[in-house]
Amino acid sequence: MVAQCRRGDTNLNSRINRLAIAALGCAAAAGLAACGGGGSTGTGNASAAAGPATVVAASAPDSLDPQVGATTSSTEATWNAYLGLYTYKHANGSAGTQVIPALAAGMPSISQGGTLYTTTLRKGLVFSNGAPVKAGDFAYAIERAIKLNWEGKSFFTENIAGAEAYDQGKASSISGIKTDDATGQIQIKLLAPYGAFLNVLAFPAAGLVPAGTPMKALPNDPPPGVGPYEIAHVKPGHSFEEQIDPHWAAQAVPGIPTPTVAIQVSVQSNPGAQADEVLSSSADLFDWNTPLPPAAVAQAQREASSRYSLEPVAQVSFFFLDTAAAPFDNALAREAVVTALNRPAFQKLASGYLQPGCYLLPPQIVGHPSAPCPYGSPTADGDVAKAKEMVQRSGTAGQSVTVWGDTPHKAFVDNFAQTLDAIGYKASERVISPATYYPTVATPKTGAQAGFAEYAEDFPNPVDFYQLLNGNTINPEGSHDLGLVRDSMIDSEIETLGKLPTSRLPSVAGRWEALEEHTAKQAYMAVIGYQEAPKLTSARVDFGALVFSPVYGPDWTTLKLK
Amino acid sequence: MRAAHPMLTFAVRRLVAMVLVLFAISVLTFLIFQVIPDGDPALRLAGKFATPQEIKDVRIQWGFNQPIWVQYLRMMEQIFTGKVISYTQQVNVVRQIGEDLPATISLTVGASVLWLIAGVALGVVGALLARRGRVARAADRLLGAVAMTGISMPAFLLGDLLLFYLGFKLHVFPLGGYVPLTEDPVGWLTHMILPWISVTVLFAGFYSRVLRASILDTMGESYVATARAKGISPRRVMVSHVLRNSLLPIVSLWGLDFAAVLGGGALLTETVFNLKGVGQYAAESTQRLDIPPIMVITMLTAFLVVVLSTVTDLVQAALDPRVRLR
Amino acid sequence: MNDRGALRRLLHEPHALIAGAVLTAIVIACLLAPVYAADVAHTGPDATHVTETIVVSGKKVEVVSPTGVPIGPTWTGRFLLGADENGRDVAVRLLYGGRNSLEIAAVATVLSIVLAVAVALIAGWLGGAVDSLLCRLMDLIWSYPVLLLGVALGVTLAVSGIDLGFTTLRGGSLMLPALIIGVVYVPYMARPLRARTIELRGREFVDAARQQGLSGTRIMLGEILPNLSSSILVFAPLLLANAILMEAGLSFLGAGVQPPAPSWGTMISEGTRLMPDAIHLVLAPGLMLLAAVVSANVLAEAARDVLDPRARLRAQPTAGGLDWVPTVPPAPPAPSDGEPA
Repeated sequence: MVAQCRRGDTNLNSRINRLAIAALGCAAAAGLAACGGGGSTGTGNASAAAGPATVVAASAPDSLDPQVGATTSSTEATWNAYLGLYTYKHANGSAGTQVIPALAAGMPSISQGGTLYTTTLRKGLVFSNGAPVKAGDFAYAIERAIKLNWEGKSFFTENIAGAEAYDQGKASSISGIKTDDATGQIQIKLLAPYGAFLNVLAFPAAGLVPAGTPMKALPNDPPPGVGPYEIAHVKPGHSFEEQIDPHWAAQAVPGIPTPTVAIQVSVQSNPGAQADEVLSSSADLFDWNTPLPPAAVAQAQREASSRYSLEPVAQVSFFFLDTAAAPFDNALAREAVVTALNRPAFQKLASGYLQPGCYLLPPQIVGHPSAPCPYGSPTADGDVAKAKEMVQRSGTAGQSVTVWGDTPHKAFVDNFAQTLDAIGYKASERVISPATYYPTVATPKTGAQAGFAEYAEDFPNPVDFYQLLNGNTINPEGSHDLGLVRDSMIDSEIETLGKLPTSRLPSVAGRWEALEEHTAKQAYMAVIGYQEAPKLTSARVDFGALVFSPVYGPDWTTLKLK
Repeated sequence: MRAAHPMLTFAVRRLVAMVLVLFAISVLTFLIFQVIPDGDPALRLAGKFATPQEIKDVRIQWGFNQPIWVQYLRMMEQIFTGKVISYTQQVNVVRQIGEDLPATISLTVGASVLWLIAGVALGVVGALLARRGRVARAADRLLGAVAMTGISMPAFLLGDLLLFYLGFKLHVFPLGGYVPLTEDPVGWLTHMILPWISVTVLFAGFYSRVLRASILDTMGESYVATARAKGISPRRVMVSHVLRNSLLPIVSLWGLDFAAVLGGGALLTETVFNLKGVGQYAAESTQRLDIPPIMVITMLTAFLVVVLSTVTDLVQAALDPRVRLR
Repeated sequence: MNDRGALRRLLHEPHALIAGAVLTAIVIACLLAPVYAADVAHTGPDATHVTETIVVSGKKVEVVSPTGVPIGPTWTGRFLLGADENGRDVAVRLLYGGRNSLEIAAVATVLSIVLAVAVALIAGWLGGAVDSLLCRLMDLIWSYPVLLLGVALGVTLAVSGIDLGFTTLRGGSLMLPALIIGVVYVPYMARPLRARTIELRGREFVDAARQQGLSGTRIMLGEILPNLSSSILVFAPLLLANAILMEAGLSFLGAGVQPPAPSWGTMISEGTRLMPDAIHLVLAPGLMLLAAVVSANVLAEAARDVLDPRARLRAQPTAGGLDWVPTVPPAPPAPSDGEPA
């Protein structure tokens, strides 16, 4: 199983980006209305209100082609430009995790024991280039995502009948998808019931593109799509625009807002400079993928409290522990590590953008337990003395442990290694480029005993997070299960609970909570906490109206200029 | 037997040398990344948590299962047809470099003019002072100390300090970034000034020391004494004899440094000021172990260096009959 | 050439003396790092104090603020120069980092000298095809964008290490950046030394030695090498300065010293991330680095003035921590550099 929607763009946003300094002021938003009209305090901007709103982003999207892009920098741009059959409700908080029909006329009828999804395309839809949308375009989009090796393509190939054969070139189309262009009916046959399949259909990678769109990545000239926005004027690595799709207003899909302003996204890697721009209202929206630098937090709290808030995002940060090898095959040793973990220190290392916690599931995900943490309160410093004693008792004291991490989280690794040293291990560090980090530690051959990891949901469903502990996925080439955890209770619960449709999640919340408590008790991973993201806008943006989607961040369709 | 025209021989030799250097550099770069374990690009291409099947697919799709020399030839073919795609972001590398070039050209052209002027001025003044009285010699020493500090300054430290004091504290200049000249000339200028200053400080000190030494050398040459004895005015001797000859090493230095910075050599400066130029692209690509951009940029730099060194050799030969074209 | 007289003259140059003193002081201070850590700062270079508080002029202060800003210089024993984001004592790390930076630079310098002398002697003495081959190799290294090469090697080797046959360098070993820097600077010194070797080869005393029936190796090591010593002395501090800068550049780009070990370059790199909130993280290592490099360069210049007054070698520092190592000024157009036809 593969999941690959990362927040914070950790793969691409190398350290170098974080240290680099970006443009400030009017000039950065070159050629924009915000600039031309004396961008200081919004004077004379009334007439410019129709002009584009500027978003300053810390890192370029990995690709603006919907069937390639996998980072949140990409999906926040593509989810409003490439609607698929389903999407998420444009709402704040947990309401925003609800799947709603987009290009489908309604929710699907699910039959044959949860393996056959039947739905119908809305009537009269057209792409941004004016071409009519056909049911066959859906099948084409899925095929295209597979052909272009979208990082999450296994969600398709492992669930949809015939997708694997198509992927391997044994079939010229996906046998499990049947479409009828005349009636607009779409039928999808699954290999086995998969509860989160509607979430899979809501991926921007399943967003429709016209059949016949070239089967090659088009990051610089993204193909036509259906949605409130269309992407234009892409300057790779520098900027792109989201223009209001002229055909959108006439299509009016319920629940999806019609945007009032075009969006200009400019990529600059310095959060400090970005924050300055938004605080001074010369840019309109701060990129949610990076935390505000400390000085800017203070300034935002002081001068812009009405347009700054911290929003939870469903992303968990943790250190994995190799449960298959010494010393962390010893449960007591693992418990000692969790006991000693200094979560408030990590909170500071994350500039405050971290809510300490001990469970794998973030609070807004169904299944997050209310029971207290088993090894000390997450908001208190770790108990090093007690942990040291536990390590002694476990008989693992004095063993060598190599802690792995990617360069952006060097400070986290330094801190964790110090903690290990303090409780009686001999810790050393391996901090490597983010580009190679996850493939390296995921390969069991590497033998990483411990390492930093952060995981952002692919979709808001506990089963997505539990891939991190799914022992059935372990294989020599690597898996999500970085700590090589094989726990029969976890594996069987994933098997059972994973089949339930997302809509029935609340009915099994108790079982997920029990599983969570079991996981925490076993100390399979040293969870640090859950990330938070900044929501910061210029003074001319209607802050209250701007929706912060728990899945895709600030919802550009709800961005309104005063 | 009559030798071929020296100019022709020179051109042919240089051309052959250039091809060889480019070949060697491309092979070397390719090997560094391909041979070293953990450099497997399939793992990176396949994504954060790929299944074995996905990795296999990528390996076949990108040809990583082929013999290494086939992979090399494939890469070179793609580079020379402009179709080379990067591994991590999967964008056309040539096109990306095209996007990044304006920033790098702005940096190179502006800074190289500044550092040449500053270096020559400082060098000439230093050399003139060195031959005068006590006070002048002290001034020369002071200039020497300034130049030495510039020479010894790490690029990123200078960049950081300029940004901190002139950007963050005094808000005189923007905090880095690049604005295209065509979109906003004023913005372009304000964004370029600090990077220019930074590179100029690094180079000017070096140039001034080379030039000063060169002038002092030349002043000791016999033909300068002869010229003086002939009654030519000291000013004319200085300009037409001393300076003309002393500038020779500077010309060739300038050509090479210009080429190096233009080819993305200013990795650190571009990174610190976030110019998003070729150098920063190179730095980011090395961190991602993304072979195609690294290959293209190293070859671009080497190409420019060879071309510019050929040009400067020609200029030298034109200025100084003693220089043989080899 | 009288080297002993030269040394005496060097000692009479006031700026050379000052530079030497500064460099020596930095080296001694760094060597004393463990003493400072134990007796003054009472903390090790890697010990974190993120969630602790200290008392500064009677007030209780958090070492690191809730938003992650570390405390600045306290000018007292604890956190003399402030803390970094992990609440580590910057002064302690500065000294330990200096040890790493200087150790790498010193090893790289020695390595460069050994390799460069070997290349120069072999190429210069044997001439012909061997000379051509070695010269082309030097050209190749020198026309490669050096920092790019260094970063590329640093990043790839940081994980896997390298097997050199006689020894294996683990990823994260200090010797990795030393090896990279050492190799990269060989042409810088080998080329002028080779020219010098060729020049010496034509001298009478070499002819005399040859007529006495001495072997080539004996002549190289016994007659020519001693005559290269003053050139080597001129280049050594230059190489040291360049190596310190290169190490800082590599570490700044994450391809040098591996965590948690500090070096001046990595410290500046970490500090840059916290600009403008904690400029002391950039200033402390930055100024130390600058002082060390300036001293080495001044020393080199003085040594050149004394040992090589006719500026035969044109030994010049390379400009700044400039990214691409710029070219050494071309050899003088005198016919004496005698490339074999």
